[in-house]
Amino acid sequence: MIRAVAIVLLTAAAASAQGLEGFEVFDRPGDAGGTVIAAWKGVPGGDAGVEYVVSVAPAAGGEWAEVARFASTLHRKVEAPAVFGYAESNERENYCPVDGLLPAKGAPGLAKGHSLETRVRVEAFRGGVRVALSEGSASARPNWWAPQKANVLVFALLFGAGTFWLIARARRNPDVFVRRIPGLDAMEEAIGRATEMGRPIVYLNGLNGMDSISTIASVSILGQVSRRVASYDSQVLVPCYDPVVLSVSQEVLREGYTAAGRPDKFREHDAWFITQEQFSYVAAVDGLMLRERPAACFYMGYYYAESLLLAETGGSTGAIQIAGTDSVTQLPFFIATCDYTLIGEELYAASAYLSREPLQLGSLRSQDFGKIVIVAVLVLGGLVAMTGAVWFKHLFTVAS
Amino acid sequence: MVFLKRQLPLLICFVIGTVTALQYYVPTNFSAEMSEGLSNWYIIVSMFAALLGFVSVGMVHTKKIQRQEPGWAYSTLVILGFLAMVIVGFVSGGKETTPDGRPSSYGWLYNCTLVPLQATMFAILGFYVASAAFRSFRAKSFDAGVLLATAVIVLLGNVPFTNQVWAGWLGIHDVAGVKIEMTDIVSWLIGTPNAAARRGVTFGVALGAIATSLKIIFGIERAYLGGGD
Repeated sequence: MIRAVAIVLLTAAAASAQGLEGFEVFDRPGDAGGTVIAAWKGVPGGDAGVEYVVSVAPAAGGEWAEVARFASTLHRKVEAPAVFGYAESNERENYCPVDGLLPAKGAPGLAKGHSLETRVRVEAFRGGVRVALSEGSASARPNWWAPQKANVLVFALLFGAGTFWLIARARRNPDVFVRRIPGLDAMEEAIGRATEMGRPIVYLNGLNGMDSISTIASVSILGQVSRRVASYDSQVLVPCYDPVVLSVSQEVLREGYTAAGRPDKFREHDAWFITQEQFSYVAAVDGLMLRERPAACFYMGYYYAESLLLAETGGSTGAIQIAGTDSVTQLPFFIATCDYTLIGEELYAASAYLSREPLQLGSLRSQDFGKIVIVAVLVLGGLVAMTGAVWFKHLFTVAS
Repeated sequence: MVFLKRQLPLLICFVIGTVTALQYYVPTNFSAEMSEGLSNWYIIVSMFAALLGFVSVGMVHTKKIQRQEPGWAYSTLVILGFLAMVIVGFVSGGKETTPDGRPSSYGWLYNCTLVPLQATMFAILGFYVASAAFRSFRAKSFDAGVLLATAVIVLLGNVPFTNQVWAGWLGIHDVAGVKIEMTDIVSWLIGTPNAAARRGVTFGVALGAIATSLKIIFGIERAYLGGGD
């Protein structure tokens, strides 16, 4: 009898279950498709001790399948700022992503990344009794825009626009002031020294391939160095770690000699491939330095553990050493062992600095302006953070 | 000819550079597949360039042997080593182990000659770090003195014995009612002034990389095509 009454009461309670507050089902924004999200603000009467059960079924009809069951303290919207932003209420509200909705390859009538309309049902249970129930439907589709990356795009566009504006200004007024970079001024001196001593210059492009910006910057500097080497009738040796960098270096050397009016002095084998084994490369270059006793060693590009092995050996031969790298971990080793070190962005500035072309110098100024803006933002951010506000930090965060 | 040598590479660079930059903002599978496809193309092109690398190695060292230039004996070793690896690699089917799990002759040659030689080179780094540190830490100026003092604290802080002396014997771990371990000082040095300097460099590098990328994409920086302009 009691059992029958309980069943009747439970059934009545279930039948009278209210809907979840602010319930909605929607396609996950900014993804490749295949996911819909069910989100809600809470349960009437508060969500303390509530357990949610999420089920899905095809919109066309079919059985419900449970996909998630969790306590109300889990799956808070604050865990997905890319979808819900940074509102304070997100710490109290729940959501549940429903993944894996993409049909098997070749499903008829569906474009790639799209799913069939799917029903999502969320039930809230308190003490085993269903207290709320909501249902909605949505279909997943791929998105062509990731809104959570909007801040990155805005910064890139602003910086790009600033760079082009400064380049245009430099074109109108080529007399652009650029601060002195002693390491680059010393290059001329090092090449002159090599000429006087009748010894070669060893130029390394680092251990990264041509897909690395620092290698491209290094090759650009090689172009400037080769012109000076050609005009001084000196010799530059470029042992390469990467075959693609080798072919680019050979071409850059050839053009450098040609531009200096000394194409006959170009020797194709002054740039050659050694190996792509890190320490074998080091052994070969160290051996080269000890045999050739170069007057100058240039280390440009990205380096790993071999930086100190190369620079110490070069230093032991008495060569002037100039390094330039954006590898933060290797900078201290170069600073300790080389006569001059181009730190970080100075490596990228080198090509513009040496060529003195207005177009290049304009971009150099944009880097300096960018740094001023960053310092201003850091100071402003520090002040805003002191007030306890976090919105400023979120402007510079790519939400996940 | 000028079109093939200058304009076409610049056009390819502009199109691929722009598309790859935009790909970051487009989350579709198509976008991800395109990015993967471009990476695969780079690998394929690199493989062709690897052939150029082998030819370069062969040409440079053969020429040295022919002309009996200084150090030509080393070139002989390079050529012999290169041929030995290729021949043994073919004989072993390119596998480092035999079907019964033992090292193949190729695996033996690699693991028992090349690996120890490379490990030896790497081991030399320890001595070089010591000599570089000796030169850097000579307190010839105020800046060098600060560097020396910081280095000494960080070095000592990473030694368990120093922590024992600091906390156990000297009993100076309690400063103004706050418990301070030697490792806390080291963590502060690395996490605050050091991290600030590193981040400064990182900001500069990021801006430099963006500016250089823009110059390359829009054809302002052309030195990598050969020549400075």
